[in-house]
Amino acid sequence: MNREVILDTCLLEPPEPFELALKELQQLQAGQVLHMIHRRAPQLLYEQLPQLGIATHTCQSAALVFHILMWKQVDTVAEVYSQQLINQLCVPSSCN
Amino acid sequence: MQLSGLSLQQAPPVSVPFRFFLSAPVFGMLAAVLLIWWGDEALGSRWTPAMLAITHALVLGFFTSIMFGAMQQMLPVLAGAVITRPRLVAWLLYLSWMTGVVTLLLAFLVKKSGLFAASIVLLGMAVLVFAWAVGTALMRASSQSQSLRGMKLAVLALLLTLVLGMVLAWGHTGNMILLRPWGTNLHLMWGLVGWVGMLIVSVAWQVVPMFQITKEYPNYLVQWLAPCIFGLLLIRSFVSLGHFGLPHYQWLWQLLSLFAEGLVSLLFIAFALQTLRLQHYRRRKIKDYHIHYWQLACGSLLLSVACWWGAILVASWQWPVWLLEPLHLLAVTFFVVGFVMAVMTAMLYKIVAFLIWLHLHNINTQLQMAGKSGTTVPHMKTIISNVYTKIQFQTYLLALGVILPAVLWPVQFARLAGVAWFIFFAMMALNLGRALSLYRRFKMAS
Repeated sequence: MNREVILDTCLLEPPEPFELALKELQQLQAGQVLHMIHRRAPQLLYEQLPQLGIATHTCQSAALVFHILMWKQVDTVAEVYSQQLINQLCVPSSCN
Repeated sequence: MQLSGLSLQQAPPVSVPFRFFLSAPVFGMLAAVLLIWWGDEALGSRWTPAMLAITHALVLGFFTSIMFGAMQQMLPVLAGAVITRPRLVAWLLYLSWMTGVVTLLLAFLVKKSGLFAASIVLLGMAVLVFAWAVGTALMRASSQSQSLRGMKLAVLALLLTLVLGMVLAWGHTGNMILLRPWGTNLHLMWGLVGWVGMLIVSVAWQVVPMFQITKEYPNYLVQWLAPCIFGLLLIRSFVSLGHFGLPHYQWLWQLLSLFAEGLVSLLFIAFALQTLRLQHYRRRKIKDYHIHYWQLACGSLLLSVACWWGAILVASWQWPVWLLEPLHLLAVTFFVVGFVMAVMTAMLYKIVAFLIWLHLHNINTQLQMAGKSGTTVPHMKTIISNVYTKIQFQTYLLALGVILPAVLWPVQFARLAGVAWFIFFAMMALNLGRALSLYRRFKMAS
């Protein structure tokens, strides 16, 4: 099982990124983190995440690409792993 | 620019924008019927009753109705600018606007001063309701993007257009002098370049990168284009007033006029070229009629500017004089039915499909949260199928192809152009109706 599920939506137009992210989140397993790569912050998706019991963290890389990490709120293993990913992906000064 | 504050909960009911969207092509069809009825007589001069009725049916009935509907729906969703009591605002605006436009069209056609006076009251009420509702929402918006700044200026331009229009309509009642042509020119300038032009440009900063997967527009353009256009239109307005009040300083007014018109032209050229450039280097090259509409719009905008400056050169050389009127007519035609119509049609199709998808998704989420089994929300691209979008684009090409010769040779082409535009607007009404019936079917089933 891959701990990191990558979903690159940089070349998709709305609402495809939103639809694909919801689909992937339904299949997310314990310990897994969904790593969405997008060219803008998906506000519509953020609004849905609390209802689905999903925690999230977003940061913007130096290349101005948004990295949105999502995991189940009760999943501490995934949360620790997401923190490692955040440290790798994000330039500290540009992290939200 | 990134989306911020995009919110499902803040979206007003689907009936709010749709009453405007569905009424818009009806006014388009009415304009086409007037052109068929009056034929070449309508296109004989910019002052004929039929020409005035046709242009106002298009600009108020079609363009502005769509803009009213779209802004009421998209501002809360895109910018977190919530309109309080959206149903009440929509009803007040809709009733006063629709009756106001119809009254104005009748006033032009039958030349009754009572109708002009009634249209002043109705349209004035509608624009004030809109400006108050949208203006307060924009002031309270959670996002303060450059797009919003442009939209605020566009609403201000709409108010100025209304005031000038009211003064002109009052002139038609016979109670004061009719301020032609300088008052009409100012009214036209604030309406087309200020309200319509600035709104299109401000919306483009969002929709072009978002839906066409292009890079963002350069910051300097996004930041300065709308405020510069607004400032230059103010200068041009003062020039007109100065020309009227202080006729001895002709050289100064001419110089300032050339300066303002030249810079506005350059700004629109920069916008058109930048949009075409972004589209050329777009990151996902798939066939999409939305892009074709925008390409056609930008091409028309460039041709409009070229014809406008052609007319200025002809006027200053006094040669060849016979070209002056056709160049003016072509400049306005390229701007209105080339640039504005193409962008409006493209955006209307995207907005309608997106809104229906958004509302259906909202219904589905509420069902699932209530513990009921949800249904499959149709994909946004299937809400108005590609085949119908293609036919709509082809009817647009046909209508545009006929209206251009109709402007130059009205006797031969005017009625044919009316028929072509009627087909275009009827096709649009049919497609919008289909999309709405899909929404209703889904809603009833769930």
